[in-house]
Amino acid sequence: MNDRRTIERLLRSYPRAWRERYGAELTALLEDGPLSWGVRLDVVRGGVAQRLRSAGLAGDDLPVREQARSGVLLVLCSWAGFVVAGCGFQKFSEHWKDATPIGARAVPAAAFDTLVAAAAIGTVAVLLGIAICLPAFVWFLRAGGWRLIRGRVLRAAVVTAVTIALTAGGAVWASHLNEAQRNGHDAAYSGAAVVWIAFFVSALGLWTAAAVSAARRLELGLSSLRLEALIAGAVTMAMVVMTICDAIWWVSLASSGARQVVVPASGPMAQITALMVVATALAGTGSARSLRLLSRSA
Amino acid sequence: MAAKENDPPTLILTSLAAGPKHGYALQQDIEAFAGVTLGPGTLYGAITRLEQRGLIEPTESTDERRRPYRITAPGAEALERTLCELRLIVDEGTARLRRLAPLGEQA
Repeated sequence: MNDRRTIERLLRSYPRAWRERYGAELTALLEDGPLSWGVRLDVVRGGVAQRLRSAGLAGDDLPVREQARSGVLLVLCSWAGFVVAGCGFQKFSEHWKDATPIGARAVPAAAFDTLVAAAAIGTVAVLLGIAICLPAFVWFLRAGGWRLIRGRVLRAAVVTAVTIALTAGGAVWASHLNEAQRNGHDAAYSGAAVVWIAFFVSALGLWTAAAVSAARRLELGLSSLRLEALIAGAVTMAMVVMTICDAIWWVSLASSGARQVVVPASGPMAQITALMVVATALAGTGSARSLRLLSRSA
Repeated sequence: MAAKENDPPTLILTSLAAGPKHGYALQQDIEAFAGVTLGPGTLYGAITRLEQRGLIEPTESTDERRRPYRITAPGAEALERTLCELRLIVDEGTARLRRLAPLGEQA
């Protein structure tokens, strides 16, 4: 008989509802055969596929409108990830002009300005998408929906309050440090910055999760969903532009002699760019799926 | 349903056409008649989709952990359609190979 705890861990890759229906059968099957790495990989792959299907991001288990809604919400989640990358970009692009020879500023400046404009367009598009949902959200709350999202909203609010407190404390602390200490030469301050980043990312993630939880329950008509899908497409385009501009900015700075800015930040900049690429790819998947499904539906 | 001879749903429907089976028996039967080993995740992914589409259904069983499944009437129709599509490909491929053989002999 195979290790029961290993099997239980493998089954956690499946959604809870699926486990309740098929979990005992799959457990019996896994107990009967060899639990090789190939079998484990097959089970995890099956679990991820089932989660994607249950979320409406793969297959056709859910009605078309729900699948389209899932595609739009994937864009929202990707945008949240992109915001994290954008904050990192903002940090590492501070004072870049001062460290760049005047003659070498044209290309990175154009890329930087385009990125900022695309960020503004993307933000406006996300806010517009939220605004379109507001009447349905108010209706949802009036119908007793608050109790369904209360836990998520309260968790997000608590983490946000802690993040704000940490931000205020960090600002006071930073005012007593010199520029070098604020930029990695004070171990305690750097450690606190990592904690602050963790709280900021958690707050953003929790608010996004709360928004997704509410948005899944809203009564949205086909026209509203179509509009949301178009907005999701616009947000994705903004992300594509920003990712390209980030790469152009980074490469043009690296080849311009502004090495004191780019070289120390090359590791984080690679991570930021990778996060942008992944978020953009996910957003592209979500918006393409929602637009394709809604263009087919009557 | 797509006409693929090694498609897990097609293999499962073919296996259940011979009578109800639980997961492990399905795995063994498919390996025996098709030489294909379906991993547990792949097998239950296909079982889930087939049951949702009403092509198979669980039978009454005292053992919840080894519940047998049987093919439904729509499942049998779906399998027949798939096999017809496969038969068309097999027949066409066989005829084309026969026409090709004399050309091969000429060369």
